[in-house]
Amino acid sequence: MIYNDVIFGSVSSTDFEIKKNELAARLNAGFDFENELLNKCINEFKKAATYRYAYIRVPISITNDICDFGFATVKSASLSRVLCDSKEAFIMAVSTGIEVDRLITKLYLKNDPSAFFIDAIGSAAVESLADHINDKICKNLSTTNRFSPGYADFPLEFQKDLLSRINANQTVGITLSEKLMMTPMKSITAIIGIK
Amino acid sequence: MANILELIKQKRIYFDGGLGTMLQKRGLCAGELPENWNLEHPEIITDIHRQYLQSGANIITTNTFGVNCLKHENYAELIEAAIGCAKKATDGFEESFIAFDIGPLGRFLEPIGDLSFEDAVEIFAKNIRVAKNLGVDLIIIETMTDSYETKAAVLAAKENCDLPIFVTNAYDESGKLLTGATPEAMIALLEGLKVDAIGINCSFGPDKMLPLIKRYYNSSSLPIIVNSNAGLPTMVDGKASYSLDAEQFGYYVNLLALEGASILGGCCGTEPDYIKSVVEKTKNIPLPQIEKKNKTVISSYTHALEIANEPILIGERINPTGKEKFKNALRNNDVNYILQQGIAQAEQGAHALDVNVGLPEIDEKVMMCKVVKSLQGICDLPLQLDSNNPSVLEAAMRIYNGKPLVNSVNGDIDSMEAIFPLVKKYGGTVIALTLDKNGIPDTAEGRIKIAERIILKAKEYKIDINDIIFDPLAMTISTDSNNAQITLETVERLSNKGYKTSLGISNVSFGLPNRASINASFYTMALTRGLNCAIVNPSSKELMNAYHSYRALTSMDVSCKDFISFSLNNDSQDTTKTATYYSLKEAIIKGLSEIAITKTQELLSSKSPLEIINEEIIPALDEIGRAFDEKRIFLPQLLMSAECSSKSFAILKEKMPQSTSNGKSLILATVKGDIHDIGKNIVKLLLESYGFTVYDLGKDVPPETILEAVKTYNCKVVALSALMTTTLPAMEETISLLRVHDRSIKIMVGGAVLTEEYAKKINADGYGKDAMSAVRIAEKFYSL
Repeated sequence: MIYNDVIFGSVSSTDFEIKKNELAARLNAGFDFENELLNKCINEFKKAATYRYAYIRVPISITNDICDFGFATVKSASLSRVLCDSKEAFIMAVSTGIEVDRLITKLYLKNDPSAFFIDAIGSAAVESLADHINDKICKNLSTTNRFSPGYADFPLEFQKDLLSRINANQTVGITLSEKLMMTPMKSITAIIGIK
Repeated sequence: MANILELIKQKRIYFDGGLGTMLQKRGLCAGELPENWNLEHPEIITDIHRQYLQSGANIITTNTFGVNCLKHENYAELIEAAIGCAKKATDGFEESFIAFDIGPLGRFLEPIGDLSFEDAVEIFAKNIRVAKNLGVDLIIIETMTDSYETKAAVLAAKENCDLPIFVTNAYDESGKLLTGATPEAMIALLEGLKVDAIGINCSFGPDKMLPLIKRYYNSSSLPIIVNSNAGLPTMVDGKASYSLDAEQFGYYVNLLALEGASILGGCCGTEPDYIKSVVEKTKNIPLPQIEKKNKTVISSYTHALEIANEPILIGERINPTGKEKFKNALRNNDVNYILQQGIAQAEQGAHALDVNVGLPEIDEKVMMCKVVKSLQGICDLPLQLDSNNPSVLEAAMRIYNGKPLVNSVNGDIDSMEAIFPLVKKYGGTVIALTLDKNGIPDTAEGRIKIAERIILKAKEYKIDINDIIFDPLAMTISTDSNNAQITLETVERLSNKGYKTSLGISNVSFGLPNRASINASFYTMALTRGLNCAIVNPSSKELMNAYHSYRALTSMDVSCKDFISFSLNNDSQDTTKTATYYSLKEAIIKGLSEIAITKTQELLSSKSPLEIINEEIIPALDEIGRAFDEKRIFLPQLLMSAECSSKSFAILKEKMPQSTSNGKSLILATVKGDIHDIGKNIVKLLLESYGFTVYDLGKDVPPETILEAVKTYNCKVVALSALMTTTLPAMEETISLLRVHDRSIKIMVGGAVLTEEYAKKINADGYGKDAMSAVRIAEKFYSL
């Protein structure tokens, strides 16, 4: 079952760009770094990746650093600061899919250095995808920055409640390991306050 | 009451619509678990079921989608209550059925996730054992987004009850499951497992399902179920709602019925009026004719492979026979080496891979399962499971994520009685050797007789002729020059009867010189006589030439596209080997690995390995390391150079097996609980490029395993990686364990969340802020 208020779907690789600054940061390289192998890897990544998202819009209330989202509460001073002017929030998750994990594993096995490139491209792509969905849903609204479980004192444990509330297993294809790591690797969850 | 399996052949049967949707209307809060209402509000559950029956649904689905023992200690109680509600609802309704609902577990199975296949089977089995005696009419396994989890659920059902099994999967817009399977792959898998009806649910609206339904109808021999969502959810005025109303929903489902869907219903966002609309619009559409497809199909976790006109190449390299390196890999448990063989054959153009890991001194079953599990994490080719031992085959068929080729059965009654029950239970296409207790007949006539006997016996197990491929056995012409002719005649005669055939090509040249040439010619001859599959070495240029030439000459390769691209690729590989403008040092600095390999081999004719290391590799690494430290080059370039020097080292190592490079070694691991290994892999590559022997223990490694490795390899330098704050305690734990064992062990740590300060706090001897510094620290450890 998927809760009635969850919006989900997918976008295509032509709907958004993998941001150059994100890529440069991940590769530990200059902003204008380019080479043949990198371009080849970007193509290979795009063949493997899918771009799925899910989100909900919920009312929130905050008292004494405890944020109440209706379906769960969480204590975090930093999150409370971000959301202090918000009465509602978007809760979102995005992922570039499991095929990317398989591709990276395979390339490592072959001792192929493009594994490192694809890994970096994946990180940059999922961040860019999160930006894209963020922009799309926040259009014409006044919103806060994105804030994710694991940032500052926002406990990673919140992933459990967050992912199950948006039925991420079915809608985006994300599951959580016992140690709270997301599969696929290149996945992002976040909360955005609506002011 | 009528039997549901009989009824679906006679008339159109309808499923209910969304249950969660209705519960939310009745006050279920978002985030609240719907299955708890079986106990808290059973009257509401019963009422919703009844509303659906009144709207024309015949099958109601129990409110057990989210029930499993991972989530609920009281799973049995929840199931009993749910079935109780359903039975109350069906009271008084003619032709109404209760489907016991099984949904996904919410965790991925290994190797993608952390749940083992057998654990998944057992979790599903627990539910089924509770439900089977409570009067349900069928099992519906639904919304499955992973082929492997689907298989686990079906096996659990088959092993624990005799109820009809219906299965529906949830696809994304690209027409694949989340973990990659196409409808054809799912059809192959599920028909192999002999379920009773299959189809699609959830996913999206019926307006987008037409192409998928057509694919189901064209490939499947089973009734097709469609229970789709009420379109996709969209945000309207800040509120989410599904895009189709009841009228539109009924209209689109009606189109699906016209294209071959038999059993219709709804999923998320649909309500009783949606089902009513579907019933009204489709009740007069005659049931589709379901034709038996008579296809020979195998599958992997992503795709199905039909064995028909196109020649199929089955890679033979995962097999220890006559391969010393492969045998050593098996003895040393070096699964990576075996996986590399698989990846290489896939890249060389194999369509499927034979997997044989039989060696007297190892546990074949354990190794087989390990290799199959690992291969299906990284290589999407269907596998041919190959063993003489039926219990090894059974273990492999059970955990195989798809419908395998099974190698093999033969005309001996013992063989058939051992293998056919496995094919019947797990599904598969079996390779049948035309030999029996008396050996291999020396005439085509004799071999065909055995083939006919195998077909008859298979029928007793309800194994279709389409699921048998005959191997009429290629024998070497060096002992009897008639051997090839007998085999070819058998291939032709079997093929004329419409049977599929396969041959192990290379046997034909055993004992002869210039084997590749004979193999390639024999392969072409066999193809012209109707051969379907060949077990071959896809790295053989002669054989691949024969394959591509045959396809070009028989108009399978339109405009000779594949032939041209294959030929050009081969040529370009030859030219890189002669490009020698660069010195080895320059090739490493520029990251040109092909040239580095060629240059290393060239230099070996005039210099010793040690000279090459000191004069070319070390200066190159020093230069590139300095450039990195000074930020003149970036990580990608550093990695490419490291890769070159590692390849060069690998060649040199073979020439001096006794003194492995610099004699320094190191144990490397990502700590327990942490599944990130990019940092660790970068460090490994760089250390190897500097000549270190690296014992890479992988990711998620328990402290005890690391200690074990210290003892086994007698290596006192350890590097640990962690990328998550949640796994830092595991790092600390590992260090204390190693310290207790031996205070002199040198330990360095690294990873995104670490700081120098923290490294000191947890008693590490060194903190590597990046990969280069890890190398410097390792060298320092050894100079102390």
